[in-house]
Amino acid sequence: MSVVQSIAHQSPPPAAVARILPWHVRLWQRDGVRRLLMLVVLAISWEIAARWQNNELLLPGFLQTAQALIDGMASGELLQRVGVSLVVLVKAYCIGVALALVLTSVAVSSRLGRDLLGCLCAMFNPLPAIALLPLALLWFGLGERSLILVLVHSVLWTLALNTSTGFLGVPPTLRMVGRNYGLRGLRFVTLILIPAALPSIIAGLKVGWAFAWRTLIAAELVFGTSSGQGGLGWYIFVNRNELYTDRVFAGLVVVILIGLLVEGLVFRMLERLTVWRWGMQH
Amino acid sequence: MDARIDTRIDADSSPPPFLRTSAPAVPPLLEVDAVNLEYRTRQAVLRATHEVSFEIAPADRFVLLGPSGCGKSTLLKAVAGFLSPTSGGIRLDGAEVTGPGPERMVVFQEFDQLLAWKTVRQNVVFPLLAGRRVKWREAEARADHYLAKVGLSVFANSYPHTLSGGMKARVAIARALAMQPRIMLMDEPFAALDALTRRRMQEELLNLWEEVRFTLLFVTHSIEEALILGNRVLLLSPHPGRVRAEIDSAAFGFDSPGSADFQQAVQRLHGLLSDDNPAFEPVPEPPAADETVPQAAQSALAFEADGSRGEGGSWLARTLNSLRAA
Repeated sequence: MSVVQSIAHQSPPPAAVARILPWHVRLWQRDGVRRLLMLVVLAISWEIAARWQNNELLLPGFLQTAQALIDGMASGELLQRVGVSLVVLVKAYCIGVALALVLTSVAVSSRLGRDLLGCLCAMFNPLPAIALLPLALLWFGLGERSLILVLVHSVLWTLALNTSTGFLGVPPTLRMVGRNYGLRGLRFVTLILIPAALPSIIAGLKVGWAFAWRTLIAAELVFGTSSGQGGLGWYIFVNRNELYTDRVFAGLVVVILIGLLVEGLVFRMLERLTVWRWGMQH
Repeated sequence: MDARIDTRIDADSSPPPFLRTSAPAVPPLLEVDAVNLEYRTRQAVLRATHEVSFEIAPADRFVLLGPSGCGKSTLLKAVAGFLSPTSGGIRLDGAEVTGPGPERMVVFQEFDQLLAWKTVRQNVVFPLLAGRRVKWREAEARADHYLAKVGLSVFANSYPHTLSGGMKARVAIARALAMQPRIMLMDEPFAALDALTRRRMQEELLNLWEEVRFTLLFVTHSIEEALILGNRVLLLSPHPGRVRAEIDSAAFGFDSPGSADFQQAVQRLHGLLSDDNPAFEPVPEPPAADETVPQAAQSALAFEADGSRGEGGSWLARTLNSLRAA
């Protein structure tokens, strides 16, 4: 009886369940819009600062840098430098990733392997890759191979550390499920552990990429000279020597742009296709 | 004197109708023979189960019932092959269980038992292909068949994180059934579900069993769940787990909970399970070289048989007495 009454006394349903927010509120919710606005503000203050400073050898303005960037692209020189840098980077990155996966897969199967990996990571992770450059030059001489050694070092330990942390974080239930299926050894690692630890692995890939990119530019600044065709770091170095400060700035802008592009496109895409879709990360 | 309470009952004591009096006639599918299980902490080796024995016949719905800490989950993990017993044997179709295998599919309690990176259908297909048991086409067909059985055909292409807890449990059951295992092992699969969903899942599981007639080993701490789902219930005592009694619960089905018989059985099991009731403790038999039985538990094993506990108390006390005298 009381139930019936309470239903009878219920207020009428609302006219609309959803209410659309005003357009400027919706626009402001978009990350891209806010970021773009920020960039515009920064560019304007840069231009104002440069004009006030009035010394293009020390601080070229935003417009001048943009002009140098467009010229560099148009002449093809900048693109070619970027190409050289990226080829070295991708080679070294692939080697580093492969080595890291092999190392962690071995480490996961035995306690001794885990100890070894933990020990190596603890030792080498804090060692800046660029500090290995003198040694690399001694071993391999000037050239791509030295660069690759240094870059592999900068990718390998970070990624291995992240991957093994990810493996350790795989819930015991999931491990038991995998073993219940009769999976062992490498199949267990590739079919269960790696996908289950993918959020950590992607985080490691991102950090490894950022480390490698920075290391590469720094290394090229030091010895891009004799490697025949220099990369982006070499471009910056040469133009500083010739006091084309606007081109130095253009080079730096390209370094930033590529960093953002890889982070925002490649890794974002990878996450969207995997861990976001699977609800493992939000 | 054996610590196990056998299913034998004195001829002159009248056992309640649900107490099992005869051994299964069919040759056992799964044999658990005097299994001792131990686990290590940093300080000590603790005994989880002590001399547990039972046999499961084909198409049995065998329930391990006991309070938390009685080692029932550990026992199920040993049957699954994730742990090996310190002594005693576990045999499936006469062959010793040495490790995990797809002929003993496990359904866990945790929601993360599904592979998050695979859709519902892929989750069911994957173990079939991983074990190289069937061809791809056959695997797909089986997956669709069992997903339809648990009512999840519509969600076949969804990822697990979009499903509710009950649906995830259904997928896990479909996945296990699709493997057509010799025995299904279920480790409190419905414990994390809300009461309504749990009841529906129990009903569905029974309906599935009616259709498929799989063999089931089911672990739970809920008396009602044990009586409804099982045709045989094995009671385990805590710390370490020992067999306290075996009960024939074939008479109870999903519509039983209201009945007087059922309520009586629940009451009896409550009595059997409650720790603070010394009359129901098994006969003391501190195992040699077993430091793990707590002192308090040993002293609680003091036997006290008075007939004042009503019917349930007296028949059991008589049974225990006669066993002790034997």
